[in-house]
Amino acid sequence: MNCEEFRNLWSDWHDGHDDVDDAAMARHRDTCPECARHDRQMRALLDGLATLPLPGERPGHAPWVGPRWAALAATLVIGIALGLVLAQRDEPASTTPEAAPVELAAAGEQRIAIAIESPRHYADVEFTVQLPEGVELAGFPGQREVRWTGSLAEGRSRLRLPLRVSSDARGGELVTRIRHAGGERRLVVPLADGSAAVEIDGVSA
Amino acid sequence: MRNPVRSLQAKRFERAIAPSMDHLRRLAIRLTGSTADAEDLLQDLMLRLHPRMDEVVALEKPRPWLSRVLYRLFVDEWRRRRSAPEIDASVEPDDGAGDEALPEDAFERGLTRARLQNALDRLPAFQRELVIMHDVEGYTLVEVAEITDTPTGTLKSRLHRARATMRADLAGE
Repeated sequence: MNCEEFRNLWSDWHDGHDDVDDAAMARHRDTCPECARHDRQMRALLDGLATLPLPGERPGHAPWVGPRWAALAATLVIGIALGLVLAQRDEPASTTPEAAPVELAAAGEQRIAIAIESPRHYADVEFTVQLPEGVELAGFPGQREVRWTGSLAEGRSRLRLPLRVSSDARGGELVTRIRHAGGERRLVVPLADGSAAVEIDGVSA
Repeated sequence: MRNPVRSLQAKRFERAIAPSMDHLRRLAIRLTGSTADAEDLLQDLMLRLHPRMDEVVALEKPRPWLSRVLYRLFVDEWRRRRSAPEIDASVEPDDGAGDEALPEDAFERGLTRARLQNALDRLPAFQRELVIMHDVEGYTLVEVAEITDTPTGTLKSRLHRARATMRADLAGE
């Protein structure tokens, strides 16, 4: 075995693939200082990759195992089946806040985010999103109203709605409604005919 | 009106995907490069899965299937949005010595997390994603083959090239 063969086979050897002659590789490494160094560097590289922290995570800190991360994961699981979060005190159903208008993109994809505070956990919440003509929720083609049930976590949640806007969209209202044991809340987001994609963040119903 | 059958199915759906959420979240963060983008990617994934609830509940092993859907979503709609890699601002003195004159452990001592991450970010997308899944997150080649719909032989070749490129990059060759 020569050095080129050793380096070409190194990955397969390291990963334990059967088609590499383990004894021949070890023999070459033990008798060739250059390839021994190559072996050390590659192993150091792979050791480093295996312990690379997640982006945004401090070394030695693993936020995904903590209670907060578990809560976020739970919210996501919920948010999946449902999609939206609302927050509210138990107030009369007549309360219908209106968010600042959002200009619709000429056509294509647009995202709207709504942040909501919930005073406590709610189980069995019914979520409804109503959309105007020419606007649909990604994954729900042709549906003017999307409804689902699930639960709502306590605290702040964010609802991100990926919208598909067709060329014949002329604006209207996007209405989100959350019905739970304590009552019902609605949030109206006016959609204006326009060409700029806007993201609303921090709108509380 | 609430549909009791649908509600029950939604709960089954949640139970089916819950054990995979941590894996999906880690993969999403690695692929997008940020926790905020990963949250968005996961929300998109969930909205895509919602109409396929029955299919998800029926899966025997949801994790590889869910990872595959996540990866396809990332490739089709998210890869182009990925932020440009950060530039490694650390400056190392050049003492004029050749590689042979460096101490034996110079390569290892220079393997800071920032340099590793930057070297990883400089790889072509398909190599970077392969290294992330296999060498960083520990997916087997068979799993990566299923997720990326790529033959294992092709993955082996790409892995060899990706690792060699990173080593040379970090060694300053």
